[in-house]
Amino acid sequence: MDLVKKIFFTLSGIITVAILLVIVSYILINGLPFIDFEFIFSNPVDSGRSGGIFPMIISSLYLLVLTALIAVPIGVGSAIYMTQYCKSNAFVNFIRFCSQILSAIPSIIYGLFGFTFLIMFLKLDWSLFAASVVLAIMSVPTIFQVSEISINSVPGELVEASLGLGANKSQTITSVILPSAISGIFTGIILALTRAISEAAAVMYVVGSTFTVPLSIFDAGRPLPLHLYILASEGVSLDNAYATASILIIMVLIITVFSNYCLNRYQNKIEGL
Amino acid sequence: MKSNNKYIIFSLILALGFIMLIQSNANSGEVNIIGSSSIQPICEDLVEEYKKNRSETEITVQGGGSNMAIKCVSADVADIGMCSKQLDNEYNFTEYELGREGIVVAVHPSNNVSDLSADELKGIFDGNITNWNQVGGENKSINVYVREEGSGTLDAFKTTIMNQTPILNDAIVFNSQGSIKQAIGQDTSSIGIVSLSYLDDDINALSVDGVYPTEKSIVNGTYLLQRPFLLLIKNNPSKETLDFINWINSSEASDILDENKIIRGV
Amino acid sequence: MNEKFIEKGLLSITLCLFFIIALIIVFLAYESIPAFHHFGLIKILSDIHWIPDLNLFGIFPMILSSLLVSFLALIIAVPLSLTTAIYIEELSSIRIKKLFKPIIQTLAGIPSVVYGFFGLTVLIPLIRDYVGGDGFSILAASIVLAIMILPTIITLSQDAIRNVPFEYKQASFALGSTHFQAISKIILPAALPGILTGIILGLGRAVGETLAVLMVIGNVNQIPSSVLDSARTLTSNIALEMCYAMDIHYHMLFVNGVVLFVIIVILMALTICIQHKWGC
Repeated sequence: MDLVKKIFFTLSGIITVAILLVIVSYILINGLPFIDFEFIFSNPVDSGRSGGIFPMIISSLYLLVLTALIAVPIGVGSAIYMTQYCKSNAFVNFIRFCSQILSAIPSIIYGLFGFTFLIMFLKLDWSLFAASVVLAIMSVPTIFQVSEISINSVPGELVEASLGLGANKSQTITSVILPSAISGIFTGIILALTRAISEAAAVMYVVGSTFTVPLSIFDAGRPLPLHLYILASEGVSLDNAYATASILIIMVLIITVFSNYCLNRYQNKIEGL
Repeated sequence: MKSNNKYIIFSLILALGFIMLIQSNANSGEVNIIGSSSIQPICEDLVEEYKKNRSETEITVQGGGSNMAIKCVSADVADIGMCSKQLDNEYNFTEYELGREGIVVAVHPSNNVSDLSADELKGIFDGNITNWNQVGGENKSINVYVREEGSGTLDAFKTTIMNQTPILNDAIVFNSQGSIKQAIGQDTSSIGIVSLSYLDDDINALSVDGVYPTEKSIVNGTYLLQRPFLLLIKNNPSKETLDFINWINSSEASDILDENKIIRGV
Repeated sequence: MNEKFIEKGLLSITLCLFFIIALIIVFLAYESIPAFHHFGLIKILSDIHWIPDLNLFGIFPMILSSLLVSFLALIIAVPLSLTTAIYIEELSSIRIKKLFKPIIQTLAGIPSVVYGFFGLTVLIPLIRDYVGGDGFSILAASIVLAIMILPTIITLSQDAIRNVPFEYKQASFALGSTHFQAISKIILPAALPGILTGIILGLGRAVGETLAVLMVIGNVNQIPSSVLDSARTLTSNIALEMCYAMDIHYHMLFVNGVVLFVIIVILMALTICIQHKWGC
């Protein structure tokens, strides 16, 4: 009887992964043949019917870095405040509620908000900067929530020991709490950033969609997911759409694998000490 | 708690300062073009050609839709708007007609119907005709595919064919030319409307009242289904903007418009 | 003094979270007030016709379809992801566990547009040929959404199961129960609040997903009578008509946004109630 159950559970695990892998491999099989050096490093020709996707890759990378620069300090900073400094329970609950709502707001609403606030009200140009502000707002709650949990799970003894040795609060935070919570915080950041660079709906009204390579953060750009959406829905070129989707999947894969690798090395280093 | 309030006010002031800083950075000398995603590829081609000899002018082309064009040009956020439908109201900007585009009623290539009268079309799209055998085809129910409310394609179709009769309720709605074309090509009992430039082997265009959509029939007005492609130019345009608009009247530019199946001189 | 400064600095950062929400509410409200003013809340919520040409803006069918599509997605996704989470956490070896983690993480990061694209090119023709209708349907949208929210629910359920104290399991074994008895009687009940949180977050993501749904649901504005009917969700309506909407139509799309926002807030309040009630 237990064997039947075990087979049942194993099977469902296999099915889930199979479904997901089928999708990914379907995209990759249709897309990889069109990816070569030229596709990655050249400009699109004829609205993306042919040519490469270099400007889109650059736009996406810009967004990744800018979003991290804005979102990480806010997310981690507020998590530190909430766990280490804040004494009012009501305030903690209130901020937690705010961040839960923020994390659940549909991306299209962020898009609408970005358009009315940044473009129409502040009269910003369509730019990577505006887009990364929107993406950062989207990422902050995830980073905040995950960081809060991992800082909270740092053993109290460690903190007490540090304080007992005469370190003050900020020293304890930077040299004891953050290093032991770093793995969780890092996971949260990666989670938030992968979601941010694969987002199209939130940025479609603020980033513009020009094909030129963005030089500064105040230039307009066209990030990969938006390019994919336009290619797929305008039916410009299905081959290029598959290829763009493959590049996106590969980018997400690289970020995930690389960050897991760094994390493991860092953890081994800490535990080795 | 009192000192808390002080810091809240302080951070508010900081935030405001930041906003001002950004705002002062907002305007620069380049030409901003924004609007309909149907005109965007054409404008990109135009700008690409234009820049070949004048690399110093910075022109950016953004999508976003016809209403973005109107909103942004009115609000002075963009220099030129691209609008793919006839405007009803008066606005505070100049309209420049880039050309006209034909709209095609398309079916699956396997469908043996090749011509429909305007009345038959109206019947299909308002739900009175539901089977292909009522218009001389096989015994199959009709799947109607349209574009979203307010789009230039649907607007033009409504004014020429529908005469205020609403489109039937369960027509499937798409928000882009590409996806509606693909859907028509996949479904053997489909009928839908796409723009002329998307016509290829995957779908078959129908004649309307015996007139097949060609460049000629659109120019001389016998084929009625067409819509204008407008450029909206804000009042007090910059010199760069005017230069670009003037260049569009040149022969270099009309070659590109021809390539994109945009019909001029109507 | 220095400490004080750090504390206040961090406080102002924390307050950003609140300011952002406030800003979003203010701007959504600002853009939607003309529509509320013009039509009145009751009429907007109860009218079943959305015909911008005739100035009819009822969003009741869209609210209904949004909820329907999302719940259907949950019905598909929850059993699959729960059993998968149990398999990974309780039944698999460490090596498989290590293999699953990056796979699930990567899949959580795949753009929703990719899933929508897959649905459009593969799922729709399949449904048209083997199930019936024209393929663009609530069923197609629910399947796409279900696949999309699988990683979210799996990850959160996994966390919840992992965080059940090991002593519970030991005690259960000591009392003579088998592994599966321990799973169904001890571990699952103890992990339930966490699992529920995951499910509600998944629901939130499903309600809010825009472009993937837009590509496969057909966007017919009607009260659906079967899962093979096409429908239009709140989110897809915004993305669909935003490009051409003007004047009151434009403001009505922001009303859509406000309604979405309210639904999300209700869902979140529900999550928090669950967490409080179960002492999480």
